[in-house]
Amino acid sequence: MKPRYERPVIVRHQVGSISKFGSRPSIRVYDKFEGVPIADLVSAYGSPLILFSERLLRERMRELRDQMATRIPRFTIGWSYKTNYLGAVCRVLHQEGAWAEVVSGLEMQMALRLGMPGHQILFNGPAKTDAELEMAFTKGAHVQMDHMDEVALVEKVAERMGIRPKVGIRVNMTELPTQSWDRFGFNLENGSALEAARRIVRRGVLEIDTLHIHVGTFVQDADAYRLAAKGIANLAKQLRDESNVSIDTIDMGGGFASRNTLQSQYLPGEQATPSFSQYVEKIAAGLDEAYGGAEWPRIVLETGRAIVDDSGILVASVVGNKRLTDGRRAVIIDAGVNLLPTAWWYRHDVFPAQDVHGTAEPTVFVGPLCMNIDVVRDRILFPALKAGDRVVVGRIGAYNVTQWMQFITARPNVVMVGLDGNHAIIRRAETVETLVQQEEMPAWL
Amino acid sequence: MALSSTRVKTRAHVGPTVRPTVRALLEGGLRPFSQIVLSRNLVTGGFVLAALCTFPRAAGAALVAVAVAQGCTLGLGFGRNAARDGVYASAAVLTALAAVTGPDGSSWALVIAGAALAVLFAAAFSHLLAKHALPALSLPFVAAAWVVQLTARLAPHADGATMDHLAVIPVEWFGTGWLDVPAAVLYVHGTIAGLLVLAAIAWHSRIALLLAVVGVMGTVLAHAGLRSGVDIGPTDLTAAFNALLTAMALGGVFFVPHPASVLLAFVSGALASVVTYALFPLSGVLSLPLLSLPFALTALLVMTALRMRERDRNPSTALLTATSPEDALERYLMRVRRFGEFAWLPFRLPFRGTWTVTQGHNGAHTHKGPWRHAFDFEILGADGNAWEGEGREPRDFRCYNLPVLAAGTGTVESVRDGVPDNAIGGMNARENWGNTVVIAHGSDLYSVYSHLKPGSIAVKAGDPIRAGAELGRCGNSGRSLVPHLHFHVQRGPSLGSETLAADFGDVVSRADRTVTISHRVIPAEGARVRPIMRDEALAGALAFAPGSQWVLTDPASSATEVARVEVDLWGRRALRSARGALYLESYENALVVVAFDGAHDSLLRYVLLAMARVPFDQEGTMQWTDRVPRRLLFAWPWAFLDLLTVVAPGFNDWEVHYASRRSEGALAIEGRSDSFRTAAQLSLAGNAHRLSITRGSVERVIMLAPQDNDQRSEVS
Repeated sequence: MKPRYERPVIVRHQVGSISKFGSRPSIRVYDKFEGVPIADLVSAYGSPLILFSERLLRERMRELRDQMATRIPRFTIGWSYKTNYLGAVCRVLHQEGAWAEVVSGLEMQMALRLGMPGHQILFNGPAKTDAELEMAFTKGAHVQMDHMDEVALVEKVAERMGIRPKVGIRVNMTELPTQSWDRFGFNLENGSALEAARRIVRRGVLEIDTLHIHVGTFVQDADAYRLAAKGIANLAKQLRDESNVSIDTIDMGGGFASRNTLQSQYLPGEQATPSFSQYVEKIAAGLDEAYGGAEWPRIVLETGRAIVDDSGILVASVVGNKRLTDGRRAVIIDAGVNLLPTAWWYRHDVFPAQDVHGTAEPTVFVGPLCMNIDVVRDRILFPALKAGDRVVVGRIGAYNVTQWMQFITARPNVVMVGLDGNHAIIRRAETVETLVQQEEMPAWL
Repeated sequence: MALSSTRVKTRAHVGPTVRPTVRALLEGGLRPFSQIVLSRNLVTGGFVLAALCTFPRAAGAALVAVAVAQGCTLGLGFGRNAARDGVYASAAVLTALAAVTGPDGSSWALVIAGAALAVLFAAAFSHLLAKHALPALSLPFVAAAWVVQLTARLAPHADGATMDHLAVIPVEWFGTGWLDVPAAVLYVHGTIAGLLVLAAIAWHSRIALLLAVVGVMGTVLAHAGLRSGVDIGPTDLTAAFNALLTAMALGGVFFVPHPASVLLAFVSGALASVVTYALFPLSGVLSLPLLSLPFALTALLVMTALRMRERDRNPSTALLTATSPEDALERYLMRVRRFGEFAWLPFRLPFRGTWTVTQGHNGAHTHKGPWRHAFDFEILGADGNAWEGEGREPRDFRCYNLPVLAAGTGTVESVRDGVPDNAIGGMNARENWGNTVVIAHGSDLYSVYSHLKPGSIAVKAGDPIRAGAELGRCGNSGRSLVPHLHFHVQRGPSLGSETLAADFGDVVSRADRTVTISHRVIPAEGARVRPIMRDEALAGALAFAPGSQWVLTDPASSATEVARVEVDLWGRRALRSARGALYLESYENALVVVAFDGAHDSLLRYVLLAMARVPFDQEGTMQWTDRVPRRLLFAWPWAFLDLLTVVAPGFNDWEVHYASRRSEGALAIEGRSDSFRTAAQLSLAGNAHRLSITRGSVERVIMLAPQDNDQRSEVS
């Protein structure tokens, strides 16, 4: 066989590298997704392409559920719609027993449209309208309130409807080893959570049965959950003791980190991110400190990212190569931050989707947008690629398909690969028709 | 099944206003007759009455007795149920029959007085014997009849009784044939009467007919053994009909039909005959006829004695709520085959979440000999390791410090704490069990939880404890190389007692891609098991709260059936319509449809087929196996094959493999058996459940919907 041509590369010698052998990355070739050749999927559905694995979705959900079951007597897992509200993804997770956790009227409609019964919908978020609240109560959804004006609005809606719904209030804590997350809910330490609860009890229009806390997002210090669980459980006990309020449910929110690596992070996510068992152990420890052997309330968990991030990948094609002035190689691919807003937070893993040869050199992956900030991966050691080669960006399941933007390009096909290697589109590629059909042309133009 | 004659072919949702009265009259009038042959079937009662009609005087007396007895039953305030049940009035009928057909002759006044007296005796004997969970059988009738006979002697025309007359049945009646034996149950004689009584028994139950024949064979044996050469006479006739009754009662009513119960029927038939022969001279001394006293004495003797058996098996004691031997057999078989044979309630797994059995019964390491019925549990990760990270310290192990829960309700018998955790790979053979909790579950049943973490035990000896309550934390104390939980069940309270085979209830096990739930199982080594993760929404949707109403609709034929959830005297919950009753058991972990009784066209039967069991678990997809009675899909000719079931259990049910799949707001359950498929779409949103049964290419769809309050008012 004719030897393959390898382009000559000059790599600068670096002093102080972590091993005397230098950095020799082992490049993993990602040519199959769930056993299906990526080349086949691209030829069937085009490039770029977003793929989800049904198996990984189910496995992560089961893993979390199994961990909860090991330590928490009564619990519910709510699927965080904002993380990924593609219907097929939600359906897989609902089939695994997850409720719907929504943060807007739009998301609530999505859950209802899929067939979720109202009593399995948790309605969070800082901005709920009168009409949305009325729909939530009509369907029997669980409303968790964020601020005092919302309490007043919920009371007004309840009085108008002639009902006394069970509701929750969202609580935040500042004394946690996480960045401040106090723009949501009522603060625990300064007493405003207790004051809000007392006011709701005094008015008697609503019945508080849930306390909700959300530690933060991408929380890598699992001990934050122990402190939060203990803090909120103590609030529940205080309410029980002074106002005879029975808190049936403590909603521990979400915020578990996925195995992605943050831009600012030293250790890779696979090593730094706590496992589900470590998070759940901390929650259980906090509840144990507060309740001991007494009966625990039902615990709700709304973890999104840690469940769905691993299950999605992005396949992109190389458009061209160029050399930047600082000597780095830049590879232009056909998917950028328009499809991958998480590239601003994560150092995403990028893999070649076919065999590669030659020496790896520092490479920048840039997207197709006519924008300087369209960088998919800033610096990664990568062997040479040629136009038409494919690359895979790993762990893109969370937030991308909800926060993606339609900017100068249309969104591509999203495909799910099933348990038996079967695959189908779960969201069709947009076309120009998709985009312009929402537009109106005023008559005077 | 039973009671088919009184079915009224109207739509069930049409107001049932007239029918209950007619039905009550039929029951009150005919059950006293069917009860004589140990049945509650109304057609059987009709046959018995027809047999009596061969002797108009007997029939007249019996009808008068029924009227008087039912009047007394209601008048004395024993209640409508007692009247409809017919047991009291049946004693009155027999008293009247013994009086009018007896040697002394009797006046109508005595018939009336005897009937009233029989009711009193029946109520009193029932009360006295019920304390010992025994039936009064024929004792009230014998007592009342004796009083009547003794009183009759005050009459001027009464002559001295001879031995033969003490048989009640005049000697000249005897000798016409075997058919006098069944007729003698009614104190009449003749081929026609005998045939009609046999028809009554056969209509009620083919098994009972078989037992009756076997019982009389017992008399033949007793006669051959004790009185061979003596001419067959009234004494033998008395022995024979007593044997017949005893065999039917013991072989099919009080014990579950089985080859062993047929043998018991034969032996007790012989025994009843021996008792008859033994008491006969005594009755001569007292000048009182034996009537069916030998039957009552023998049956009570055998029932009471057999209670002392170590295991209630072969034959097993029957549930007294069964309506016939066939029914008792089916219920027993379904109970054993669906819910297991262990005498105790199943234990729950003594932990939360999924653990792996790393050493099971008869394990390779320490579960041997007297300690073979034990379990070691650990948690294995997806990598197959029991630890995370380095695995060098107990706390690296996944199961370490996890809660250990009580497997059953009971009292803490003893607690051992203070044994330190071993280092990984270390072993403390001196304190073999390590930190251990022993819980007593009633008599001679103890559960043991060993190798707990020192200082973690949260209970003390004498504490009452609920199943599922936390006892302590999993540790590595005692003879334990790596952290694990050792669990077993034993007979005695002291550590080291011989272990017992014990099973766990509602165990979810995962293997590869399938998740299976077992109602009762002894998990094998390597099994990954967890207890139920209760799904509140599913449990709520299938709560079948007492008082709630449900509408069943067949969209194809637009047949409708309204059913209401009722709880009966025995605490059984039933979804009851005018056409049938579906017995439900909705407990913490599952809904179980226990049995169906009623008309063949009742839609309720399809509920049993489509959802015999629904576990309240959060799992997305899971499977399980259950059994449903074949009777539910076959019409009456099948009933005549019931006899086969006595020797071939399993003949009367189908194994059904169910698989559930969850979706938004619904749970779909598909069932497959040899001859039909089922599909149930259960709504968690409070909408209608859709059930379907497919046999061959014919699909039958049933909608089961909760009925709103406003609709309810127009029904009632």
